Amino acid sequence: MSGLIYCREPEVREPYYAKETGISLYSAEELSYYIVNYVLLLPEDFIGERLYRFLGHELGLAELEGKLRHFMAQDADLYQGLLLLVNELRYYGDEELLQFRDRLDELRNSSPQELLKQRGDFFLDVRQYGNAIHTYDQILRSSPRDEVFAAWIWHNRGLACVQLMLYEEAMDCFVRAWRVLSLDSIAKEIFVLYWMEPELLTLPEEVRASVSGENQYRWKEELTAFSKNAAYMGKAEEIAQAFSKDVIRRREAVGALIREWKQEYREMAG
Amino acid sequence: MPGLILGIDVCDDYTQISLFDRESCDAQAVGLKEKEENEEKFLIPTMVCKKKGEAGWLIGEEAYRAALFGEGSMVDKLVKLVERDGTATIEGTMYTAAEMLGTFLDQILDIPKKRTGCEQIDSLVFTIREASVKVMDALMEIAEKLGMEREKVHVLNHTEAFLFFVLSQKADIWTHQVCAFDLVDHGLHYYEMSVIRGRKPQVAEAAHEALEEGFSLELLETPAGEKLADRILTACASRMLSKKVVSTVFLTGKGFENPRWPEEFLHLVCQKRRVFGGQNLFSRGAAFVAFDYMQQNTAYPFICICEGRIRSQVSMEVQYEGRKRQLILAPAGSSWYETRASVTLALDGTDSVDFQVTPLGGTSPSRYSIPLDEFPKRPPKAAKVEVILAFTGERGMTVRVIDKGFGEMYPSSGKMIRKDFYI
Repeated sequence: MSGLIYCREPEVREPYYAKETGISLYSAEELSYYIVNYVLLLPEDFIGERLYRFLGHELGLAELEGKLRHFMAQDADLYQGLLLLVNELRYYGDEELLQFRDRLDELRNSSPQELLKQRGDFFLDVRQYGNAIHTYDQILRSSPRDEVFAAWIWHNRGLACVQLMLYEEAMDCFVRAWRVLSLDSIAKEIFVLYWMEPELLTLPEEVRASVSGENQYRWKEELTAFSKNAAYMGKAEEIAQAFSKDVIRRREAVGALIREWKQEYREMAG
Repeated sequence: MPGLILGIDVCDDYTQISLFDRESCDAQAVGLKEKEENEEKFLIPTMVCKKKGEAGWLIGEEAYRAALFGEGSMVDKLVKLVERDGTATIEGTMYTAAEMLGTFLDQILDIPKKRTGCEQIDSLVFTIREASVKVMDALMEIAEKLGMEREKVHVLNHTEAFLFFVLSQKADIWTHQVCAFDLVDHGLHYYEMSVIRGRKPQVAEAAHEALEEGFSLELLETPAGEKLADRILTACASRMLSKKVVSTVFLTGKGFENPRWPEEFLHLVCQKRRVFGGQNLFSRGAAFVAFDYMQQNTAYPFICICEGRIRSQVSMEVQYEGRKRQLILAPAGSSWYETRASVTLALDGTDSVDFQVTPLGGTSPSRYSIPLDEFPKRPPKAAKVEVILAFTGERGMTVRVIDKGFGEMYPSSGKMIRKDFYI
């Protein structure tokens, strides 16, 4: 159901600080959203005294606080508690709640390694590449028995390394993944990475030999076209806009952009 | 001791004060007793005079007298002066019209305070002839400067004050249409109101017309002038009251101070109608409203439609606690000057804020939309906006939408979209 949701928004004196992400939550709507979207990161003790206090004292939902306390005292697990909480906060509609319940069931049935992979993939999605690498390393240290599963971990780790400009590490990850999965899509990533930094990286002969000349040519063309367009997109466009302003505003705009990018990089690097 | 509940009618010529009495639930006029005179004067000339070489100001008749004897400089027509952003330079110092009106009202407020021995004002409603943003703003600022909290002060126009005055009377007064003639020095004003029954809530509608036949009250100073004025008024009444079922007529204004003089006119209006004369109709209406503002539930369960009030309901469809609801931002019949709504909404897969404007009377609603293209794109349910609605007139609506972000997960861009609508 799309549209506008009326927010209660009482004044919160003290937000709820989610230590797993460093995010402070200021309203019932933010708490709901955080639970549904960051469920993979929530620690076992998420439903505890601090959360009860936030519900009862800050959000003025004393009844819900009591209900949740009572529910958790009856040996309910984290996911059951979260479902109750999201349901009672009423920020999500019935259909979304059903999807959330299915998601929780899926998580409940996942192995610890699968859970960690999902967490790593989540970090990758939200551009927290440092955390993603750290999570993938945790899985790899436990030497997963499933070779294909491990190969995908290497691949996704490679993606995170590329974003942090750790190109040599990324190449190593992609090659390890390719050796098991032998996918063209991964071979393409290896080629593209190599073409980006030909002086720094070495293209493994086994990968070069597995790809036809025709494919190599097509990929190269695609990269060239993308590089040309990149000059007019994203960050390049942002900086071009900043430089189009007058001298005083340009200095302000460039300063703001640099501050924003620095912050973005800090968050990415975790 | 409970504070005072006051209605003050501020006009260019005279100012009147009505004090609401909690015990009798009625409002009574409070006048100015001149020194050495026992007579209480309810019509206080809206003028100030600064005595030569002294710091203090005189108001009303005293101001006039002092100016007449050359003891000081007088400034009158203060309301019009405020509207024109006027000033007056007295003894080398320039005073703004708002400052002088403030000085005048400060002394006006002292009258009921001294009379009752109570310094505190619990509710104050000013009434002015026509809604003027400049004058309304000035009155609010003056009240604030005089130490009153803003939420305890309101401003009505005369049509609104008349409407509430009539609705405060027994119901048999307003079984049919009710009219009022206000004869003042600068013109003749006609008001009428009626309650449209059969709707829930009932609709009370009022209108005002400044009649072209207005004349200077100096005309009444000679018998021939009186006769001429009588003929003018009779012609007006005949025109305004014909083909209408009017149950009550009120006569007010300086021109009707002597209720005997317009013989023909009185003969006409008194036919099968109840006629009342008095000087404090508008200030009493304001005092009744001042009392009503203090109550949790209004004593006027009507949709009041007249100048100064919105004729349509502004609402929007929102979800609240999982259900679709119609959120009313501005109810029909509310004062445009005082109506201001602010709501925080989360965007759930929508990139616009849509309104519905429903005119009173059941015609189909109009829809208005504000696209949010300028705001950053965010996932569903991860953006909040603050919608602030205000009015610049009965039909002028201004909506501001502010990007509030979504906590620390999606910080606000600080952007704001403003759109004006004619509804």
